[in-house]
Amino acid sequence: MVGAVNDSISSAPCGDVPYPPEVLDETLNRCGRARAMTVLTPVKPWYRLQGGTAWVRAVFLVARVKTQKPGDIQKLSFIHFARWGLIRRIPDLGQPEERLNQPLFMFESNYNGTFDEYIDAFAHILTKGMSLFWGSSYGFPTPRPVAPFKHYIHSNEYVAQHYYSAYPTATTTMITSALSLEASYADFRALAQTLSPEEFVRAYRKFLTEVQDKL
Amino acid sequence: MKLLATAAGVLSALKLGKGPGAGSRNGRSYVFTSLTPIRAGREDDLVAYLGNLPMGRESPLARLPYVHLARWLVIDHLKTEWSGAPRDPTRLRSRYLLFTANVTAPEKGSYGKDLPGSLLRELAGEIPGDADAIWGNCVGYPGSASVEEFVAYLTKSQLDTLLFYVGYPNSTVEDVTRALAAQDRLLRFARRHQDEDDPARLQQAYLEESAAWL
Repeated sequence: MVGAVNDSISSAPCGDVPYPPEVLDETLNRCGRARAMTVLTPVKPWYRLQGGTAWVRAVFLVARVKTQKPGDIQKLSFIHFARWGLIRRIPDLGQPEERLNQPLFMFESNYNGTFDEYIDAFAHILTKGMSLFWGSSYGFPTPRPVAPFKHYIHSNEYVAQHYYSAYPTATTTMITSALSLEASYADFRALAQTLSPEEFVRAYRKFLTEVQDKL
Repeated sequence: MKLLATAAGVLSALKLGKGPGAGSRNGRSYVFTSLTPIRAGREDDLVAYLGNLPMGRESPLARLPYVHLARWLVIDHLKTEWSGAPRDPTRLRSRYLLFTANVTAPEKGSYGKDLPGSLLRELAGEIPGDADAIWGNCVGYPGSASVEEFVAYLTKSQLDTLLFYVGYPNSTVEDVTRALAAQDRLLRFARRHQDEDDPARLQQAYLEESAAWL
């Protein structure tokens, strides 16, 4: 059984719990096991291959329909939340007027694991999707080979000055497992009340066997 | 059937594509992203303030019960030092503060329907001091004292979303933390009682302890 969760799961300050060595680094863009990624890339003009905001919108219209059904993106089980956006104009709040020479494609993610693991998985699971999503951006090198792709993302990435997670010790897999266990507790507890002690022991062992991959 | 499902998906996507913050919803989850210009000469103060904010439970954002993950980030320029960058890159005239919050609304009540206003009103109500210390460095910020002006300001700064992915749809922060705690308690129970050889004692202990897991 793996995945023990600290009792103070929702209240542990980031960096104040015994994380595995690979997540001990106290740099920003991290809160416990959660990591932030923020990437901005300029979009090519419409007359270039996969360029233009209309193309980007069309790609994401299809992507939005597809993500409503189980698919490749669901295999990226280390993502808490991710967001893709398109900036055509900077909001005008009274600052000196901005003129974007290129619209900006924006990607924000909240994930667990290392940057390398994250990009590796994206490149290998969502190869086509990444090519479609970032193909509209200047300089995009294709997801494979993965080294230039990582360099491209790193080169356009920003660091968060403050990053917050409500449950810093939890990975996405721990969360989805924990949520899927909830119905099992209720069912097994109801059953346990009807059994003799000997029947209970057999049922309890069976129950633990069934749920052990979620613990 | 498949065709109907796809058509429904397209209609839903088109519907989601309208209005400010388009595409920001996924079930009861919502992503709010804003971009506000930093006043000239205030970037260092802002970066220092954000850098000194306590993390985790002590973060001011922990006072917002429906926020899962959030970030404040300063964009001082658009990066151009990479191969293939455009020849005429955009040079921003101001520096910008990006704020993104991922929230899931509770099933009951109007919080979800009123997003992003409900989130922004909560920011003004729960962390007015930090909100003023942060966005007070931004052009045109009206302050948190006038909640509706605060909401209008940040709503105006909201960025459009094309696609919002949620790893555990419709689960609030409370749902997640409760489920994790229950999972942990079951694991601890199993470890603590692994050598228990009295079936009646094991059953009684399970029934007593598991009552608190639901």
